[in-house]
Amino acid sequence: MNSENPFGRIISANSRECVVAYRTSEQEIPRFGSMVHIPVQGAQDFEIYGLVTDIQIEEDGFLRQLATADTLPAEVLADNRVNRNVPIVLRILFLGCRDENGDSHLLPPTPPLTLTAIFRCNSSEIAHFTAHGNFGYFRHILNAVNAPAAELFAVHIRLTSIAQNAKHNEGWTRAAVEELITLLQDDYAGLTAILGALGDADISF
Amino acid sequence: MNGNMNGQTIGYVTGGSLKEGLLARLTAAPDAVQEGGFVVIESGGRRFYGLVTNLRLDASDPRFAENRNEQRLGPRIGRLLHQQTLFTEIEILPVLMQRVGPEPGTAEFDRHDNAIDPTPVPVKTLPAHHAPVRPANAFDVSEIFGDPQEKTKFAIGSTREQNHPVAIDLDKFVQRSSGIFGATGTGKSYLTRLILAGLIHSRQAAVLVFDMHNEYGFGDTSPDTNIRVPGLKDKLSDRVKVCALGRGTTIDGRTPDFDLVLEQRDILPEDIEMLTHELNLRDTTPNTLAALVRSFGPANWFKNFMQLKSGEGEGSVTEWAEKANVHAGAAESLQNKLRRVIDRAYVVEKAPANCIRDIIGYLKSGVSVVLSFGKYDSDLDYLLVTNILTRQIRAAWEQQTNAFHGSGGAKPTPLVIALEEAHKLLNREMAAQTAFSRIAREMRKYFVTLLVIDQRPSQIYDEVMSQLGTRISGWLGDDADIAAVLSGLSGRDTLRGMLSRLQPKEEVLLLGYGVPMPLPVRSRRYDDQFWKELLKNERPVHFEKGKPDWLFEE
Repeated sequence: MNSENPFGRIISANSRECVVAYRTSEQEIPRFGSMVHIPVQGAQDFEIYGLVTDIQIEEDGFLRQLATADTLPAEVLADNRVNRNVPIVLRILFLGCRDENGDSHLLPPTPPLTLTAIFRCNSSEIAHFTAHGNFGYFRHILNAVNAPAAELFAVHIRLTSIAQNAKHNEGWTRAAVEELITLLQDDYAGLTAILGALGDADISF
Repeated sequence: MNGNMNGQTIGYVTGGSLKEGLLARLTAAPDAVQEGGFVVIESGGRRFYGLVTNLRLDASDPRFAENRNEQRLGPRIGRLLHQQTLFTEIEILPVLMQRVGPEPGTAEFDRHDNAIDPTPVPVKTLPAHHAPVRPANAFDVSEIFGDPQEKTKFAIGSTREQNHPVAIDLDKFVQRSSGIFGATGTGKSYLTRLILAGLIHSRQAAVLVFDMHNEYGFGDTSPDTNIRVPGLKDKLSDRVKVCALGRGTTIDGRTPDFDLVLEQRDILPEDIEMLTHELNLRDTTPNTLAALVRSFGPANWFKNFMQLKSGEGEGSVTEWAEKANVHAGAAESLQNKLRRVIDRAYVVEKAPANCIRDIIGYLKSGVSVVLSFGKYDSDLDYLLVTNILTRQIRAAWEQQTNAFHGSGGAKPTPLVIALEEAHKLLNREMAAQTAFSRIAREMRKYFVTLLVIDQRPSQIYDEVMSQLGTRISGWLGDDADIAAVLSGLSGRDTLRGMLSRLQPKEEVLLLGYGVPMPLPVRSRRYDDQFWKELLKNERPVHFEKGKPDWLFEE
């Protein structure tokens, strides 16, 4: 998987998120909390930015039989993991989009169509999108249903701070944490959970 | 608000009302601001001047304050969390505002209508939300309290945080009676000396000091530093006369300029009635005194009465009492009690000179007089002498003022009577009987005002306290005293705590008519440096008794 080649295709979508089928031939599963982008072609071209909020590996019916076997040869294990009938599914939360006017932390005007290819963001794209505006995309993460916000922020901020530091934008991490505190200062439990996760992520600023 | 924050924003307005004052979120450290700090808020082309009246530690959620999250989250995240969720809120009492217009060179400056207020006015509106709050700088202090270099201004101290000089307007100070208060040991007498020195030096008024403890004329030794400090006579010798009570009295071995003795004819029945408590007089005394005046006349009643023999027979008290239809026992008792008065060495039948007339003459010519009581330090001496003297002064000033208004006579010299231990003369029982309460109430228009100095302002009659224009108070511990000092002033509830939390020494709260807004200040020290600064532009002045030589000079 790299930023030039798609690692999967969309199997369902709405205005806030989409579900992606992951091609198991790829060497590396996109990490939880990593950023992806989805080019959308149509009457108006734009590119959706999103965050991997969930990775789901489901059984394909035959797996139960294999799991009960006394021993499993290595080639059987590899065949089951690579040549799966049921793909690994990723849930992508939309963070914003980019069109001819530049980056925006508003949700995309339309969801991507099914089978649209999805790409992993490189460091430069991450740094560019996350430095835009004033962390407006945080609200999408905070409003996400059934997504572990604390874990998402911990991973996202740790990964993004690496990208920002590479661009000599060392103040981004501190500003991001301050913004989170501002957004959540009336939600003691939510804020301390996120800050606790950030502490576990050993983020430096 | 320390020196390096001078002019920097320390917070922003978050709410408030005219009645309850303003609230501001502090952006500086909590200990960077003190209660009583003088702050300025700029909003919409107006500058609002106010006092910090309270500081409160607060949190966006109480749990952020209750739980020590930095231990769980680590110091860096913990610090960021605290910076945003824990904060200090300050309460500001807005007092004055001034329309100053936008800054020159800005777009708003070109559009505004050039309407500005030449001087600050009492606050009638509020700054907008998020208007920046900053500590007052030297310019602000000067704008409000005036330039200490001006002739009628006197630098009484400096702001506590930034040390900007704060001046009082001596002209206003002498227009109404004033008070200097503070618990014992807070430096009242040194503060009084500072102000009297300023008054005498500025020639705003002549001063009569009733110096009960012999401190003001020739100075004394500070109990704290054990250093001898000069008196008013030592430094302003050509404008101050020291008068001692009684013949041949010396003050710390020094000879006064002249003595004060009272003639028996100076004593009026009301002077005796005022001593009811001191002499343990009966309820019948006013009737007996009235009969004495009827019998002997107002000038000779005391002398003639005291010459009556005790017992019965011709020329006795009993004989007079029977003729005057007065109870003989009451008359004899009164005569016995008045022996304490006639036995005072300073009460004589005939004085070699009219000392009271001399004092009035000096005061009229603008020379201040310090009346030292020397060894006569009892309450009886103090009450008797101050009342007799003040009554005659009051009459003299009334006469001169009436002549000034009626027949174009000379304008009377403004006179300030400094009264230590004022509650002895101005308490609820005495106030109606002494000349002082009338001075406090009515004599402003006759150019005579009081400077009341006391450690128990609650003991002073309410009606007198309410007449005090400028009030300068050091630390007070008693709630009743604090309430008395603040009586009749707006914002007294918010100033109450400020007064009780002053430093025990060298901090005073300026209040009332003579200052544009209340302000706690660090008072100047009464030392050589003070005198050097005061007298640096001094030129010799020569007085001619009876002729004011400086009051109306340009």
